[in-house]
Amino acid sequence: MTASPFQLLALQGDLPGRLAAGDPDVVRPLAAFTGHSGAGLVLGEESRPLRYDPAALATALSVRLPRWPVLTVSDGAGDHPYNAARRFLSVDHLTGGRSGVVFRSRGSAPRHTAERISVIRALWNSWPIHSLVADRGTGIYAHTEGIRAIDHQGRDFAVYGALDSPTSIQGEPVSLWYVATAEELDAAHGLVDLVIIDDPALLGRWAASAQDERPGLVASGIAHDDEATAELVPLHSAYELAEAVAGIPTAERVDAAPSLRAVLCLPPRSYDLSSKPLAFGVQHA
Amino acid sequence: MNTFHLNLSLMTPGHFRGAWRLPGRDPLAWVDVGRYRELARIAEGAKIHAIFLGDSPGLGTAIAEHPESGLEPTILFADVLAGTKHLGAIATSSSTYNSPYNLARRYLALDHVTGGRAAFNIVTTFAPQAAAAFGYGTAPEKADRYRRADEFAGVVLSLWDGWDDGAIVGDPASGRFADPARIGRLEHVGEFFRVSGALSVPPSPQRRPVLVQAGGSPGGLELAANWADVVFTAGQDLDEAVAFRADTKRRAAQAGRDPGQILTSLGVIVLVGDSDHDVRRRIDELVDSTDVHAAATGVAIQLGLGTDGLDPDSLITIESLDAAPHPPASAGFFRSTRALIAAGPRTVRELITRSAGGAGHRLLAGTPEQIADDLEHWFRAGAADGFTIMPADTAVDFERFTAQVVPLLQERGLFQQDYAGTTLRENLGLAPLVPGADRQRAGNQRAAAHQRAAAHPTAEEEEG
Repeated sequence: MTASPFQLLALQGDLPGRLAAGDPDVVRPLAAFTGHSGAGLVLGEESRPLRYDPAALATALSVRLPRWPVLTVSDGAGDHPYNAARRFLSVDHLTGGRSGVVFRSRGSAPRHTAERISVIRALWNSWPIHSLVADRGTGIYAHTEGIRAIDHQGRDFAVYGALDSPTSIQGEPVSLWYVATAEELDAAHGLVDLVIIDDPALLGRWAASAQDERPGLVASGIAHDDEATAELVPLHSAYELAEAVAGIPTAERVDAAPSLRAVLCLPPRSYDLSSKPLAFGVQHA
Repeated sequence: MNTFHLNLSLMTPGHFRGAWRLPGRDPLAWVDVGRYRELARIAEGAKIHAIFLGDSPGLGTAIAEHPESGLEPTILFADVLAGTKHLGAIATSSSTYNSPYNLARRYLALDHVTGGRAAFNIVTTFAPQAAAAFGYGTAPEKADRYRRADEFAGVVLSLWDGWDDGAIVGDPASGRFADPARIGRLEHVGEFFRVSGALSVPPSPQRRPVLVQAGGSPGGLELAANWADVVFTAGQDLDEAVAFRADTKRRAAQAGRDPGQILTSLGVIVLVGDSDHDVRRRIDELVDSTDVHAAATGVAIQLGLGTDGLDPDSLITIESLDAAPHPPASAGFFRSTRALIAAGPRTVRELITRSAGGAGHRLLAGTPEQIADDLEHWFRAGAADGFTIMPADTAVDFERFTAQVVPLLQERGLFQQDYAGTTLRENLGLAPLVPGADRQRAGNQRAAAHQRAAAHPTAEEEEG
């Protein structure tokens, strides 16, 4: 990895509220930061209960700060995975593929979180955008052969059907899991793009796993021998934010890389639904 | 009021879903946020009160022929309103498939980031694909959906009303940020929800989002009377629309509310032509883009006439409607269509054309002068406090309505020349909210519900 990993700036304290209100002291340093984005903004990485809905805030910010990737924390409380999948994929469409989702368990069992992530990622992939053909002559808007019902009957969730938004420009939002236990870390393998780790013991477990199978690493407050794709940096005040922004190195690669996935040099990702039923059977033209 | 409000639907490609097939239309405009931002700027330039999007989660088989709901409305509106200063936005969410605490928080966030310009259109969602997406074999019964919606609205309004004015102290010397005694905790235990606590965000510039309601069944009417600031309704027949508005205000008064504080917004599908010939040509073009047999099936389901589909040229009489073998999918659309057919039988094809491919809202097709005359006539007759305009073909009629019809309405003194205030509530002419009033109303409703339950422990509510 490079010596200066991507910075995930976790906005805490009064920063979300000030950004929601468009406070120029907070918005200006971020808006002035153009030409590259070696950093992204993380919304919702605060103590509970949250004051602002992270996805609504992320969307409003992405308009005010069109160069900044936005990452939204999802802990799933009272939030059905169909609603969550739809909202986060909408954010990804609106940001032009500059978004990610940080999953957290917050008291749920690792298998519950893993099932939730799995359902959400399956939904994100259920309707490939290339199935939209919009053929004026035949009147066929979408070839439904490509659309899969995720047909999920799990321990905690039952979800049938496909999502009502097609896949985004980066395929699906970048997925991260802020893992707190070894069980969560093991469950994250093959499931998410990146794991966030703040515990040296878990970092050791991650480092010991096969390099080509493990998710990428986001280090949170721990040394990581330059192995991390990104670092999570909690920020509590406008001063800390300005300091962090001033320290972000310029990166030439970003102008040619439109999506967060590309910025983070993550491989394309999809969720194999080939064993799942067609959502609408075979289409008759 | 001498003027009416105008809301404008962003539905893309338009109320005629097949409009994407016409030359020059962008079939992907429905997921093009740049286009939505442009439409919002056009709406604000015309001083439109609010943009609107209906919504039902779930992907249906109709996607083979045309787009339906797509991007999640609260997220879309957080984006498009960031490029405007005065325009409001009415987003739609389901009370059947959401939890009230999360949705209350999300809409209040939308209200904060827009400076007090958000509205929540509460719907109960009957689509089978929505039920499947959320793990149900079929949608819950209508009576259950509306009892849940009523409880949902009470919880959401109570949460929004949790913080009194002056709850934030903000005293740097003492370090006291807020006065907990002025933040009311909700202790709700109901049939569907248990919610204990308060939102962690103070009221927005309009205190809370405007609440809109859109269902016409008995449960929907009760929900509107209890809670709604604005009732979005369908009307094919003028006398029926006048009676509906009067009934809505009467029901609100019976529920202990000021009838002046519940507005009806009549849905009207608008097609704007240069001449009578152009209007005729465009209607034919849009009907031709519609799969009439699929639309006929839709009409049959809406009116409770079965799912086998109807011959587009068959006649629907008042007798056949009253003997319909199934309950209608939408009580409001049924009421509106029944009033039309009471004046004389109509063919299925006529119904499809009159309602732009559906079976509910009225298609108003004409020149700008004719459309302005019609809206003025319906307003002066007392049919509505305003209109929710649904462009027949959004690529054409959105801009024609704002550029050619709105100026005529302004010249006649029927529509605002500029925004009256900074929040949606002010712009709609609704009175400022009194802190604690929503909580009080919800508390009274809870007490009444408990009394009813105690008096009739096994009673089932009747629903249409």
